[in-house]
Amino acid sequence: MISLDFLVTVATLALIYAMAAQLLNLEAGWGGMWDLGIAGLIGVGAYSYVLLTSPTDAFVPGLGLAFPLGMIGAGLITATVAVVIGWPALRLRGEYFLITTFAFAEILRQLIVINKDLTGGTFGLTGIARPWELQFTFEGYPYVRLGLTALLTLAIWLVCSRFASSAYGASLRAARDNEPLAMAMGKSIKTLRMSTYATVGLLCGLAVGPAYSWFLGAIVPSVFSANLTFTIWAGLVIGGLGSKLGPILGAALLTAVSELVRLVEVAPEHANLVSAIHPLLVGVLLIAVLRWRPDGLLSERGTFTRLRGRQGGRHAAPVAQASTAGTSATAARLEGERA
Amino acid sequence: MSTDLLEIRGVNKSFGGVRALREVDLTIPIGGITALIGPNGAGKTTLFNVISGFGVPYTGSIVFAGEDLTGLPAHQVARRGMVRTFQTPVGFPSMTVAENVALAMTGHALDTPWAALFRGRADRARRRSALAAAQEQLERAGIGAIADRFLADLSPGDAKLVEILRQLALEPRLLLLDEPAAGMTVDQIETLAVIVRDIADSGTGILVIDHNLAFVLGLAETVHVLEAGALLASGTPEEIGRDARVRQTYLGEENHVA
Amino acid sequence: MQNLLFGLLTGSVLAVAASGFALLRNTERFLHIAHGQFMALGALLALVLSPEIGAVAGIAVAVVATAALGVVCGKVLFDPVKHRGGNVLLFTSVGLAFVTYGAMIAIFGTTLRVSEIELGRARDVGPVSVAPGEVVILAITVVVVAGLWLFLGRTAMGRDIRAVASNRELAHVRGVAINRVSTTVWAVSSGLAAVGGIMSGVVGSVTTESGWGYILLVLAAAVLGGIGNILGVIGAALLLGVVMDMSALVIDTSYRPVVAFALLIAVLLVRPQGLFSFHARKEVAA
Repeated sequence: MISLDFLVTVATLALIYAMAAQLLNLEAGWGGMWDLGIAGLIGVGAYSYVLLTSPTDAFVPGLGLAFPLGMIGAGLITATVAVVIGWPALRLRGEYFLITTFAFAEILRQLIVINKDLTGGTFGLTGIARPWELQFTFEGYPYVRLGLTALLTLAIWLVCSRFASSAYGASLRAARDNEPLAMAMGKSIKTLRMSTYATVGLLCGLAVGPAYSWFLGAIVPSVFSANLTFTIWAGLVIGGLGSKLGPILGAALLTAVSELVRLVEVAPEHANLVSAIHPLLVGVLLIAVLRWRPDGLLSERGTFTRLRGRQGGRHAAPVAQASTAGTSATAARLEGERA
Repeated sequence: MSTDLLEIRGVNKSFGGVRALREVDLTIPIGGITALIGPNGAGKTTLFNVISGFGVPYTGSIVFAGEDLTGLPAHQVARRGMVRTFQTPVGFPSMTVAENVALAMTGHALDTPWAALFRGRADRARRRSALAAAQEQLERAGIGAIADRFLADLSPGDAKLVEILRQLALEPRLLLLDEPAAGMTVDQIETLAVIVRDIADSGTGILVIDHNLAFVLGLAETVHVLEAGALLASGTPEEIGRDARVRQTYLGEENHVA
Repeated sequence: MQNLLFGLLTGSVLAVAASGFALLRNTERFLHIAHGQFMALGALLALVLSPEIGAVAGIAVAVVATAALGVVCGKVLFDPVKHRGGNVLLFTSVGLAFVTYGAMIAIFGTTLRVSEIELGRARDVGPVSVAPGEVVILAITVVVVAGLWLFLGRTAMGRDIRAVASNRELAHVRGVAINRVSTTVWAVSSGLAAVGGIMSGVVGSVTTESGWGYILLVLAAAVLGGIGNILGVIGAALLLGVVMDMSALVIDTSYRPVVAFALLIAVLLVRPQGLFSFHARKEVAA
């Protein structure tokens, strides 16, 4: 039967993916920047956090800072890295931006591997201290960790919600919808996109990286690979690119489905099958959603219709009226191959 | 006075071997209605793009109200008071008509994630007032009913109107209209003419390019004619209508100057 | 000099795989992320079959099987969503990559495998020392590239493929059998992926993880070479290989991939459309 401990673990991981998916949604869904390098930013965030908070006498020494300082420091470091990457990458569009971010993420990962004195190389960093770990029992701590992760996820949710309803969010989506027109209206595309990318970096370092390292207990470079990037993307696409709740739903669904499979007890010689299930399921889900529900489970239109209603004023027109357009904005954007 | 002029001096531009603009010299008053006409391929759109910052001239300068704007990116040009419309009024498809227009009214200061997070109250207030103002604008233009529709669902005439209203909401000194009459019915064009005249009367200068000569000549105070990238003639609509070279250029074109 | 040879070797393997990727991108209009997994699949199939049926037969079966898989995926997975545009196709390919990756783990397990095929003892030839196996690999690359060039340039199908690549709609109007072109392209592309993967496995080692690394380099070569030019991609792949291995002369070998990507980024900044592309800069850069 499913133990509570197991559920707590799955929930924690689902929340971490949900955080990452929301940030990806911000830059890719609303910002139109198809970033294939988010695992790199999360990796920088995780490593910065651990190195800032590790004790100075650990095997791989750190600065021994308290965890809130570590989070803030990691946030600033990752934001800086994002700016360094973004400055050249944002000059390109479409598949070129995609590949540049992909390349940068791989460069970051390799740099982590190479600088083994700083980062522990391929062996990584182990024995990561978690906040308040010692104040709780071994059995009880996972609940604390879940609570902490949930708080962080909530914070990211609130931040993204604020962005969605703000003038900045509107300008960002305008730049995505019709870049020349946004420029003709005085919007600085470069500033909008750069600030978005830097914000994603900041939050990856502030929240996602630390939360992931608390969850894993040890981090190695191979964790932050293309596999991770694509998993987060899969969660986002399945949940609904451009919707507020979509990334959370998609990430949760993906995690739940792939982790619950682990419950199936198999003989050791079939261990391969179990580790194969996660990617198999992610792949199948992704292909299926794109085939039959390319908008994802929740749509961007839905999110903004609800927001409109809440902002007061007149009642928003029913979404059904868009039927003449054929497809909704998200599918249109997926078709449009925009940057 | 140079503060009331858009001065285009010696502008040259080529695209892969084709000389799109040749030594174009023009002075356009920032006030009243000026038209730019010419057959297909004459370079009208290229000139428009260069003026509005969507293209950089190979040589030459663009001076707007005494300020040199040559080579400035499009968004800077727009912020300095010269705003253009686009021929196909696609707008921002994911937003309603009201939101499209409101985007012009929220200004740029709050356009950062920082402002969104830490000046939330000001941001919310600004958005609310912008939406209300947009609603007003739409109602004044007689299309208040479509405020909550999406641009893809509008008739071409309405979509064009929204395009113009939205750009106008930026309160430009000079509004560049890119083929506003294209694809419109005769009635719609009449209404459009009234609207354009109203805009000019309220102080915003207009520079319009269009293939519909009747529409354009009926509205403008000054007309410039481009042909093969060079300025062919300039003058009042009557003068241009009588100009032999202009008639020559348009011979065989659909819209005949009667 | 020796490094140059290694570079050419690395570049050749990459060139074979990247040409398949570019072929698919030019005609089907999307980035086939699962290409990397197909490379690994071909390599693993060959490695597993060779002890049973001999090296040559093993390789042949692996290539044919991968090609067939590609055709099936093209018809079943990609054709139905073709109308939805490049991004949907890209993510369908990501999904396929995951499925292939999972299937490989299930079938082959995660152990590192080394090919039984020996490269042979290195012999000194002038300033370099070369193993006969390495010569074979270079020879195979030349044959493959030449074959591809002849195929695309001289055969009727090749002409049709080029027509579709330059303007699909026009080709359709002109009566080109788009479906047949599609099938052929999928088969050739996937076959090339398998060949590239097998060669990579012979030169080095293969695991089920290899696919993710392969696609990075293939993408880099494809983008560096520019859209619309398969020869350009081949050239870019060779260049990448050479740069990666020559850089070992001045910096630590572990920096190899970093050098490759740094080169990619540097080139994109200066010439956003790639080194050998026909496209204008405007369409690509902001």
